[in-house]
Amino acid sequence: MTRQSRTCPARPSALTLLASTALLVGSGVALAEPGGRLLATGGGSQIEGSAGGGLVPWAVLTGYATRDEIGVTAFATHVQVDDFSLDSFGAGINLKNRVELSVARQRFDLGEAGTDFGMPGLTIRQNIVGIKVRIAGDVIYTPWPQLAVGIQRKSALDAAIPDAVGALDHNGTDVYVSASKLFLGAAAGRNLLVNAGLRSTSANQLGLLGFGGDQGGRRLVAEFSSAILLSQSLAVGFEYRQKPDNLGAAREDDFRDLFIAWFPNKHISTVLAYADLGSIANRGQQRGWYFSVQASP
Amino acid sequence: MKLTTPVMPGCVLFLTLLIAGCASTQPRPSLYDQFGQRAGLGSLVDGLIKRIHANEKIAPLFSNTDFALFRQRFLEFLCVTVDGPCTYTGEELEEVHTGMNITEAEFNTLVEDLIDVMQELAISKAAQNEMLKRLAPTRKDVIYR
Repeated sequence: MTRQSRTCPARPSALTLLASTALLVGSGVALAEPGGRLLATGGGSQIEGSAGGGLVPWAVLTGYATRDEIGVTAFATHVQVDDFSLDSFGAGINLKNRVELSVARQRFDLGEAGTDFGMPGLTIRQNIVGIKVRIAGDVIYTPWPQLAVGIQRKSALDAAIPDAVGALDHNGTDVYVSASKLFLGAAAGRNLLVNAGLRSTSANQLGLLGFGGDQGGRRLVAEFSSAILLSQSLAVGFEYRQKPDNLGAAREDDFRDLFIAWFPNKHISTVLAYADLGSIANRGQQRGWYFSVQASP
Repeated sequence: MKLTTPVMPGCVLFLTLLIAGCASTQPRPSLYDQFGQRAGLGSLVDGLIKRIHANEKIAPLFSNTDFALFRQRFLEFLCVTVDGPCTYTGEELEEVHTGMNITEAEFNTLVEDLIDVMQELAISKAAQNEMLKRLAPTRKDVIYR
């Protein structure tokens, strides 16, 4: 019998951890700056734990470490759409603004929709280990964009649903390349951030529904996001993430969102988004809110 | 791509409105004027020098600096940067910073101080960003020399 996790009685306390970090920061305890890069250039932690916006990784590395520094970040994210919710939490380390290592745990709650599979209240969990390497450039200072390549290795902890919908694998590896550039003053005098990426993946719904299926396997998908910085600490923008559609039994759509990101200081970054995740596990038009907090000591 | 819902055009419209909302229809004064010409640039440099002294992260870098000369040269440099009627009489940036081994973090600290002073002097966001855009390419001549 494959492992299935019902509602977990003791929820992992990533939010508690973040809340205490935030309290620590807010209570005026003297913490050193997390690093010497400029505010907002670390972005947030995207849904799979890599530095980025909400759904899409950026070419920047997590936190604020420069080529002389090492930095760590932790994050927690909650997504609530019509029929499902997704929690994601994890941590990242930035080694001299060259290499980013990240870990994330996702917990996808099917809620009522679990009854579609005869398993009400079912949750699906997956672990993601990521590495991102900055290949060239600086998002602000070089005339060319910052370029990075990354890998996200995903492992399912609960395989019943992926099996039920016909996924071929429980584990998979995404490889992506990302380019990010901040165009100073380019949007009516405001700074404009543009990110574009390509990802090779066979993941169904990020991997939560397994990898590959009757409709295909690995393919190349595009990811795009753009934001205007209204001030040094506030950005609004949108994201678009193309996805494979490998399962005849559970069609999936591209992800998209509108977001606002707030960087009150270098210790905290927050992202609030309204996301359209399309059809998930045969429930159409899944729309709702995305909220993510990242903390850095 | 499966663009069946009108969210993407919505995004573009949203961003366009945002941009249009900020845009001014009147002819802009020159960047030099927006920085208050020579006097305004003087206040900018004075404000920056004050912050350098107060900022322990970068103050040591200036321990041997002749601030009267620094003020004059930096003012000239900024004046030329904003297309003002000035001549920069100092050495090349690379030469000036050789031996200082200024780090990326120290450079950014000065940028943060510069932004704070521009904010204090109520320079418009657009003018601030134009200044930063023009100064950004100089980083390579300043750090790790």
